[in-house]
Amino acid sequence: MGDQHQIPNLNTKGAASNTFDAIVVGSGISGGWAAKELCEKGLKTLVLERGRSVTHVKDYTTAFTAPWEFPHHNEVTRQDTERDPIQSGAYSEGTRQWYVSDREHPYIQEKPFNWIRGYQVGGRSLTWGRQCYRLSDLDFEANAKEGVAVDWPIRYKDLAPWYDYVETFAGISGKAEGLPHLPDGQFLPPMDMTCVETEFTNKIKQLYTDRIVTIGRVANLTQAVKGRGPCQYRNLCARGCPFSGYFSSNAATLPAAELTGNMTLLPDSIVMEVLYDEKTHKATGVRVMNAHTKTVTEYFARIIFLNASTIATAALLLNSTSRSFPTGLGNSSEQVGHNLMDHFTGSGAQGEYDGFPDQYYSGRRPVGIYIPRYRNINPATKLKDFTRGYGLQGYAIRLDGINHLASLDGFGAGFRDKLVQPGPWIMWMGGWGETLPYYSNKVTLDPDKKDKWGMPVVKIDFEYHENETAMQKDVKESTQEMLERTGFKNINAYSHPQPGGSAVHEMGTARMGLDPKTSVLNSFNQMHDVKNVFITDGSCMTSSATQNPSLTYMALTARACDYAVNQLKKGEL
Amino acid sequence: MNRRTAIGRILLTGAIGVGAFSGYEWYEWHRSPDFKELDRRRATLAALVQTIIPPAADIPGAADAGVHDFIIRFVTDCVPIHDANTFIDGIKDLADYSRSHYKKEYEACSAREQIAILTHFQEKGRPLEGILGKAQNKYMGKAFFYLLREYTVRGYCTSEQGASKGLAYVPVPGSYHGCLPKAPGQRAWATN
Repeated sequence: MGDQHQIPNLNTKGAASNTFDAIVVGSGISGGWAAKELCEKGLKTLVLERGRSVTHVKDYTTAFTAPWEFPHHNEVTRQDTERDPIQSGAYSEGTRQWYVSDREHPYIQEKPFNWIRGYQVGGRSLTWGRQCYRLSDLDFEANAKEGVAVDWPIRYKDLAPWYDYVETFAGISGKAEGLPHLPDGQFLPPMDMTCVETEFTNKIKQLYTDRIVTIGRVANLTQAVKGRGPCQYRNLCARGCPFSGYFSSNAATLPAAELTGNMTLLPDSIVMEVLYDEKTHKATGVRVMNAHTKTVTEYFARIIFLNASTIATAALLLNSTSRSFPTGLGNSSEQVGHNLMDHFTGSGAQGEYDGFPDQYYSGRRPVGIYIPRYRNINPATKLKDFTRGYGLQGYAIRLDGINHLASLDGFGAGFRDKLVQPGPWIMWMGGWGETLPYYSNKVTLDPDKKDKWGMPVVKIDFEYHENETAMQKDVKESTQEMLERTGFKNINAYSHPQPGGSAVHEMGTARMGLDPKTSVLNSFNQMHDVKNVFITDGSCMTSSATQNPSLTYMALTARACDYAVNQLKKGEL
Repeated sequence: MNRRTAIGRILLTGAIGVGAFSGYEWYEWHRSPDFKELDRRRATLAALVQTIIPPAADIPGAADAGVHDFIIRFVTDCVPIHDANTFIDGIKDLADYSRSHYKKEYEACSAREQIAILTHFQEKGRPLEGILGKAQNKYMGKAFFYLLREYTVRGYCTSEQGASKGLAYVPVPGSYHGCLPKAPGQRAWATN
């Protein structure tokens, strides 16, 4: 604490009624897990969400809307793109309700950066891409081996049982492949490949020894799990699933937390600052503003989990200043806000395939195929142009609907008869590449500009460097080569680098590490400087690896909760 | 179209700088479209979309599916301003062409006449082959006919009649099968 802010409308309810065992800031993927784990371990837990309440199923208002029932058949309008120049790149008429208003939530882009946000109960767990891949020691050891940034303080063996644990609860479908660098998990049955995907998979196996093709590992339930699902193959996940067919906080972790009777969930609650006691060297609680009434209330707890999402968590720390921490809570390392990463995207290739003219598929699969990283995984696959690597996501489908138009000419009866038939098979692949942690890629607070709640506006300064650029070139060349060698034609390889943030995999702004001088969190996601604060959202990541990261946040969260509660019981916190 | 072609050549050879984007061209890209023209031309639009996707025994035509009304909404609210101008100017051009060549409105023309008119606009707006065509579309925008056809297909595949009678629309598939023989009479799936 130790500061003398003038707070209007301070709610002076007795501290006792505002005191909990634990506080969780944020209710997205990782906050939901923290809520579940802490509540199930018997802690009275306050979960603070800055956005509105979203009740599972009931509030999925577009879940059953047919394309023609949307005023613009599910397209965004010019008004959308003018009002929300960033978020409208991610939403449609059917999902707009899950994205913030760019006008209401401004941020400063020192260089173009897409900060895609969902402020509501469940956060972006409602709209996430749902692909789940484990990291391996190839990833955990990379920084140390190459002298990049700092070493991860954990190895795969530390996290493996927690991957098992969260996968079993969440429900991840996928196929075991026995790859050391993309470890298998506790999988539900895999989804099918299309005919051309299977053909491609077999050809890649014959042509290459360094790579495989597998079906995407995804948090869509191919079998019911704990009363949720199974997936109905509508591929409308991002509207919210009335069948609980995929993992979200709303469908899975928050109901589990609620069931314990230990959770108090407060939506519309903007955490302004983490309160710090210089005498005990601990955080005492948080100061919260109601998003509507702007009433300010303080809540207190013995442990605090920050799960506000990478950039917002960094901003919260930077805004929590005191005499002990003049540059932000737990920031003696001066690393808070730095080392921002995303996965680069924007390169790949597409081609057409002759064959299987009489084969099709039924249902809408909510995932594609995946080609795990195949660059720099061992001495034989080492390249000199760049370090690390990328994974490829893709699919082979028949063109139909509006996509079919690209392969049609003319108009009239002949055109119509082709349009209503399945079009040619095409395959597309794109790269999701590892981005190195650069100190210069950072989140700071603008000293002057404030948002409508009086909170400092976030500044994001992010760019890709030579390693990512070189990798991007390789993605283009390599995807083109694979399509050529497997018999595709009319191949179009491309590289259109996207601004940072476009993969919505931002991470790294409060990294884990062994040394308090160079990192913010220890091996259990505990702040080096403030022992009762834990951070288990994307900000904890020491490197980005190539894998879609949410599964790792889940595992780290469950592990940190277990540690925190044990420490509490031992009287260490 | 001569101006379009000429500017296209300059752009495509990379000889034009940002500074050369004159006030006139800026105006061409940004002037307020005359959206009311879309309502005035609703009957023409209905006839046009029906020429692009005419009905068959078991396939509704695009006008039967209400695609012209979708296009009016879509152009008014969604498409970039430059495309909206191209589209609205194109309808006016087409109406003029119909009156001057056939002495009647497009919607009053015979099916054969309509096909001749639309073929004229298809050829007139046809982009260059290959990568030049892509650059042309990117820098100049697509020509009227190609916008019209794209909006028609988009509206048709997402309309109730088009999606469920022209194509195959299954709101809740319930299962996924990745590799199946095409069923007899199988239509393309309306949504991905």
